[in-house]
Amino acid sequence: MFYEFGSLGAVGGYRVGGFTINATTRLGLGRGYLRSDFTGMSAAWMPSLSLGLEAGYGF
Amino acid sequence: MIALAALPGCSAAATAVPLAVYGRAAGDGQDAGYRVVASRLAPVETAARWGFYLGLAAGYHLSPGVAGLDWTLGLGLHRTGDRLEHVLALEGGLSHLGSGGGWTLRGMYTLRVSLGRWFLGPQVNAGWTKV
Repeated sequence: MFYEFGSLGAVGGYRVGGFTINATTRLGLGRGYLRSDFTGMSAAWMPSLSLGLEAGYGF
Repeated sequence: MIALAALPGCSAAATAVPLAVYGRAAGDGQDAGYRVVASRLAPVETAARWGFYLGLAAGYHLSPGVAGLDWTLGLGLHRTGDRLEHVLALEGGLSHLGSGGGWTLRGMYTLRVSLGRWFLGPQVNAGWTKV
């Protein structure tokens, strides 16, 4: 099991005619466990990478 | 409306976007997919405008050692100004990993710095995602 606690990233985008498109990049940090419980299991910190593309209107 | 227009910084101009469609796709798998968003700007236009959105996202996880789908329902708030925009969002949902499952609950904050039609800024996510 992998538990992510948070991430930090950057967003860049473009607006035209009320429409918005933007890209996101986030680097997160989480902890991986061998089982879903936390007792007696080895764990390690793991990074997670997120690349996103968003498009919308009025936002 | 008349009373609000009398407040400093407010005008009676109505700006409303009753519904918006918002798509989102990501490559990591944390929250890749698409989102349908309803957005409504405040009926009273001020120097900064507030809006709301409600979103639904489905994604594919590529986190270390696991892979699966992530379905997320999000509620957000954004404040738009001349130079800076603040976006707050809260997302919660379920993850499906083969026969297993997980869930996620996280808050997001994005600061957008407007550069004309372009914008750029940092984003912070804090919460709990189990995949």
